[in-house]
Amino acid sequence: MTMLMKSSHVAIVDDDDLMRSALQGLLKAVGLPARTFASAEEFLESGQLHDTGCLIADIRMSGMSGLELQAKLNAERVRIPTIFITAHGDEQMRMQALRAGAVEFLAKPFDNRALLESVRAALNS
Amino acid sequence: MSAQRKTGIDVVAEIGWGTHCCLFHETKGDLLDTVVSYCKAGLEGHEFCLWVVAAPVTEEDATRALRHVVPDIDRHIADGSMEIVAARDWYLQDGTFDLNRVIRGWHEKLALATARGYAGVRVTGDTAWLDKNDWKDFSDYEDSLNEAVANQRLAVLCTYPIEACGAGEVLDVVRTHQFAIAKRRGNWNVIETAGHKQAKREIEERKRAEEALRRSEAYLAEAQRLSHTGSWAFNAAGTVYWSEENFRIWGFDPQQGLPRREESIQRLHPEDRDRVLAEAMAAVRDKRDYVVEFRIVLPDGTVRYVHGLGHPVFDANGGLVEVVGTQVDVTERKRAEQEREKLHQLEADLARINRLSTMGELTASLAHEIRQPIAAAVTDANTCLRWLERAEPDVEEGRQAAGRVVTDVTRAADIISSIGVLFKKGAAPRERIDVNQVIREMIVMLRSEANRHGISMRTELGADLPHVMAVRVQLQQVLMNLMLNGIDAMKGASGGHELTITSAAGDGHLLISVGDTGAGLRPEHADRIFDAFFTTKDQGIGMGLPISRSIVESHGGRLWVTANSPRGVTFQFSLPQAVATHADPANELSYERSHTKR
Repeated sequence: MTMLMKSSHVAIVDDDDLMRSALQGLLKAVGLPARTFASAEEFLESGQLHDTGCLIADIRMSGMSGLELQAKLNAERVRIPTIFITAHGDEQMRMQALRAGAVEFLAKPFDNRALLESVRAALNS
Repeated sequence: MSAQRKTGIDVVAEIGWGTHCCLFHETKGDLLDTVVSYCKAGLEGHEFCLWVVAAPVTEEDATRALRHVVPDIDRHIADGSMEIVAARDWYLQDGTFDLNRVIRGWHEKLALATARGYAGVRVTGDTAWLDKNDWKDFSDYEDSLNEAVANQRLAVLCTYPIEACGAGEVLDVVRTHQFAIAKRRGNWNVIETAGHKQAKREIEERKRAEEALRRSEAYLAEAQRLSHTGSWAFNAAGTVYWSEENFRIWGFDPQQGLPRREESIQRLHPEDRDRVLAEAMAAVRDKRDYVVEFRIVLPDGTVRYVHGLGHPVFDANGGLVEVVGTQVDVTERKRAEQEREKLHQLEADLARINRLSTMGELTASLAHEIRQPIAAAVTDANTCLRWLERAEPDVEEGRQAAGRVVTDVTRAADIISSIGVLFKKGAAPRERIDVNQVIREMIVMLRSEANRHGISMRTELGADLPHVMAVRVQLQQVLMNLMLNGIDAMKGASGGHELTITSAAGDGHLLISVGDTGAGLRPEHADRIFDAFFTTKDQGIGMGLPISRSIVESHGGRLWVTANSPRGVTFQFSLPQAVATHADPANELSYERSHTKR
């Protein structure tokens, strides 16, 4: 909290409203401001990509999936440290995400401290 | 014992009891030949035979002539089966002819013969002794004899020498006999009189009646065999009658005669025995008919199911005459019922298995649905603790986080209860149901399954629809089957796919449709998709659509499929609307359009 960050904002992309609120609430409790988006498309069109220091995304969503979002950002050379959280990720999906540059891959329900550590690491990178 | 007797006379062959006929003969030889043959047939038929002889034939002539054709004639004479008497001793006792005395004599002989066990009495009487003075009396006697022998086991053959008869006498004789046998130009002839024709007609009629009775009995037996219906009667003394089919049902041999009461009681199933006997006794006591179902066990262990009916018959004083009844072998029907019951159970089990396996396919996506709110709850609870564990606790933030926990957990609970309903066994009672609500619930359940395959779901639900009377879980199952079918048809295909669910009110019914934009249905499959175990899918047992159809039909509706343009199919089903329990002011339809996903 005392650290100065280049791009301090965290973006949360999840199509589940409860999950978005929970993640935003957690980050708020540790003093990290977060913006929420209900879909990958909404995030891509927000014009806030370059202002985002860390992306927390669900993998399986209606419309564009989390992995497709990651690929799209890579293709556009937008490098945002990304943390995936998913309710049914398998090892293959995890490896695909990490190879594409994800910093963490967490299964729901996830360890809050692990998430926060990853977020902090991402913001400091 | 047959009423027809062999005559021993070629031209006549058979006569019945009660026959009174005459013979005109030319020579003594003709007379002897004919009469010994007549007596021989009588002896062979175990009849008592009486031959009244008159000059020129003597008793010795008769015996000798008989011995030629009946070698042991002396034995018959000795034991009294054959009696030969002279006309003067029979017709002319005391030297006079008495009509009544002679007729009484025949009847005495008949009574004696019957008592000794003979089939009847066969008489032949020679009239050669008659002279013109006796003719009138004798003719009266012949006339009376017709009545005297009628309906008696008596047959009388009167013989007349033709040369002793003038035309008037011949006419008298022929008139007073049923028929006449006469030798003309060397051949025997029979001259029938009206009386004989009448007798013959009566015999024919009796034969026809007997034939009709036999046929009727045969048809009855056939009807009993076809319908597995036996009939019976018993009285205080025991069993009186069992029909052929009754013997078959109970496994008794008709050749062995009626089974004794204890024998048939023995074949009643031990568990049914007391009940059946008590019911029959109670019915007799209460003077009423009874119906009783029971089992019988044959000696080889075969069990038969019987439907019995009993009817006690009482006399004018209320005394029991007999009990008559029928027994229907309903074993096959019982078996069929049991098979049908088994089949119903199997269908129910299959439906449940299908539901369970459908649920199995859904488990993964349901797990995702449940994990989502639980993960949120864990995070929110964690956040709440963080606010409260601060040096200066932020109660307001903590309260908000705790509030989110409540929301999260409530959602998880809702999802779990919606699964629980589908897993319950047994048919729930019908209730008034808002179809749109069920559609929305199913969309919530299947949303992630659709999302997984990039399929969006769209609804066009009629507003203010009347309710339907339905079993909720069954309606859910129909919708789930149709929606999953639609998703299956579209998954794996590229391009934006859409599942459209609509509801609308029709005339007295509701119309619900589930349309997809999948590959569609091959025409050759269109007729078969509702058949059990028909499937076009790699996985699936092909029971979804037949079960859905049977559920819809059990609710009084119909389920059918139509092709969509340009692609896909739409399943539609109708359900009768529930009778309104209160006045429904607005029947105007408006549509709410919602897009659950875009």
